[in-house]
Amino acid sequence: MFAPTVPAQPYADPWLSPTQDRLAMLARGERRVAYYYEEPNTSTFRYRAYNMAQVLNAQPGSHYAASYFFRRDLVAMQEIVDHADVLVVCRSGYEHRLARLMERFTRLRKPVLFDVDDLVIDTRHAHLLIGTLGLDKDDPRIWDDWFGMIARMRATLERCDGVITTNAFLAARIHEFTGKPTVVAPNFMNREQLAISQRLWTAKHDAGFATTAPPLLGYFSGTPSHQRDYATVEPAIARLMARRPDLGLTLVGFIEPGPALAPFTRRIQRQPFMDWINLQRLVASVEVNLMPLQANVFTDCKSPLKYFEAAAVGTVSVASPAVNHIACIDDGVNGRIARGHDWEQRIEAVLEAPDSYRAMAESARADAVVRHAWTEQLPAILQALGWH
Amino acid sequence: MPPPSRRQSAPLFYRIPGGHRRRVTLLCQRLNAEDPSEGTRAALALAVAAANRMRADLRLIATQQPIAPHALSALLGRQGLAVLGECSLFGPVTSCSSDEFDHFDGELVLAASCRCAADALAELPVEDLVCLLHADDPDLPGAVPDQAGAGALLGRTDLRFAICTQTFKQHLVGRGFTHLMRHAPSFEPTPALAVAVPEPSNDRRRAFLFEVTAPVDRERFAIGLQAIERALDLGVLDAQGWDLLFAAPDLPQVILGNGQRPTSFDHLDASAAWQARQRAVLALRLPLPNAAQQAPLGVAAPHAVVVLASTTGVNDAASAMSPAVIRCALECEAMVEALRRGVERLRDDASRPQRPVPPESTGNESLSLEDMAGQLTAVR
Repeated sequence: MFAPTVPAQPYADPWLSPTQDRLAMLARGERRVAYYYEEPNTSTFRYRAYNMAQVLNAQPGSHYAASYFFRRDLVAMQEIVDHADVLVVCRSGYEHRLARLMERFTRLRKPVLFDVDDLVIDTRHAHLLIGTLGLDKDDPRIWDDWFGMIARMRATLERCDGVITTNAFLAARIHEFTGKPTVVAPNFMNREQLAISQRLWTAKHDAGFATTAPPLLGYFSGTPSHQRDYATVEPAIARLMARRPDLGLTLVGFIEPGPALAPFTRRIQRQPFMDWINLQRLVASVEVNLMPLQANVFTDCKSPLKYFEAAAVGTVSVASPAVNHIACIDDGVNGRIARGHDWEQRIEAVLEAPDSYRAMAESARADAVVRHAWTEQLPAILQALGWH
Repeated sequence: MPPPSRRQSAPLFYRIPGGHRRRVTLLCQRLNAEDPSEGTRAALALAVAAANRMRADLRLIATQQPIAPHALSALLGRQGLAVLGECSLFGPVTSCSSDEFDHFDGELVLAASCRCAADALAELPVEDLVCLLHADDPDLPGAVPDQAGAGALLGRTDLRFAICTQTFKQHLVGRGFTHLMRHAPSFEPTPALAVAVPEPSNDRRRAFLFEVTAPVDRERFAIGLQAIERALDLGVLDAQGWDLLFAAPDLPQVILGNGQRPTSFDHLDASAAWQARQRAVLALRLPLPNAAQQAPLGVAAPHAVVVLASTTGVNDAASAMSPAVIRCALECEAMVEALRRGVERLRDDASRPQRPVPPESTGNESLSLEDMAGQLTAVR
């Protein structure tokens, strides 16, 4: 375990401001984009709307302006239409007010784009999705909910002029299934996340990666939908904890350890879901960031968030060979790739080689800053908006 | 005859759009990586070779027991196999909705037993399925009753088969499944005989194989050893006429009462097992209780008489399948008597198992493992 070097940070959602203030964010730009998401949250909304707007608004001069709106803001629908040149609808299901908002943009020949970060636009994948998430298939409401949700997403998408998504693999699937022009604007770390990461990295690096306690594995889950992903790595964790009496495990979020870990309860730290600033402190404290995914087209569409957020704080990731994991992790260089049968060896290889650990952490950190920081995203965002 | 009833552990599949990721699925009843049967090893090797050739993921589904990742990893290492794509492990399986498996068109599914193939045919397109036939399959035709419907399965002409060893293919053809001759390719899982089994010192010496399946039960091993020494003492086995081959994991070095030192195979690997079995004309096998997968046909199929000593009634299938299998109780005297019958059977030209005569070239001679994988994946 790496020593906690940065104290806990006060946190408040930075996007909670009155509608009029967010409308005002659009007033000064020559090119103005409104991002729409049903309700603000720390996952899709943060990555796909808040972060994008932050990059555009940070540019010098008044070329670009961006803001974000929610369902509750649609009482000011016409003001949004009047203030923006482009509407980006982020992962929102069809409903009457949203349809009206889109229609008003379209009537004014203002582009409407759909932004989606998961393969949730084709009901032919609903069965796979329900299985991957481990939902109760015997409950008919599950089928109603997920078929309904996906169909509503698709209905929204069909009304849009194009699609923005997080990675090339998902973009190819969306284009294949819908025929819509689809471009990639990847997920990335925003200014605040990168700032806390910089402090954590500097402290860890300056201390020579010195540890203050026995090694820790970490699994960080932002949603309750990853139990089956986590289950693929648990046998390896159990064997490692049995063989290494000092090894600990940190589980963050909505994950329930299985019976295989029952003998090691005292060495398991469980943390509740955590804000995305202080989560970086926790990620920085573990030696190994575990990134298991089931192997299928749905998980292949996931972007490698967990990798670059750990990389930014100098923590090495061990990941399943999902498409977007392989795309950013060069095995043995900036992380490790583990297959279903060799998690134990891969994790242990990271734990037992401090010299190569440091090299991998440095390589991953450099990659995170060069490719996954908010400062590097403007070209992709402009291209996605058709502003290049 | 009605189709066999569906088992609780028969896997359920559902269809999804394909074309985005390639996958080879190996469907087996058990993948006991710590003690794999020959059939398991062959099935795993073929599945890995096919997956790597297709640059596909490998999905291993064992319907009746969990697959231990570390044991699988060790087994792959011992067999010199590297999985290039993802390797997903599932098992055991229940026929409930939470245990469903996705399937997409064009996915290659290898069924490692007749029962698995029968289960899969209820759920998957026949063109995506290949039934792997090997001598360790406890559900091969001949079982009474044929609960897996294996007889009907082997009679199908729309199902692709891959047969583990040309010798076993000859055996099946000889049992009446003549359509397999032309339509079912065979392959040799261990073409490179890395471990040398000594050749007979002269033409008159024959090979006797004593095989104990893992994990070695010292008591069973001792009973078998006692029976062999007794057979040597009584002249049932002529010490001058037999090369003695002992095969078992963690096998102790053995010196028999007459001073003879059997050739021992500790950690019998696939190639050594194949070679030893090819040489043996008489074998004594002591399978694990309830380990029906450890069928003796792998030895019997080439040309040997096999004495199968067991405390349980396993391997009815094997007995029925081949007259070369003699079953007896796991007791010293019973084994000696069975060995006596085995030796007599070898002397009797009429009942002696014959080494299969290689067929005239038909263009479908046995393939290497790699070539078999290539044939299975050629159209995908």
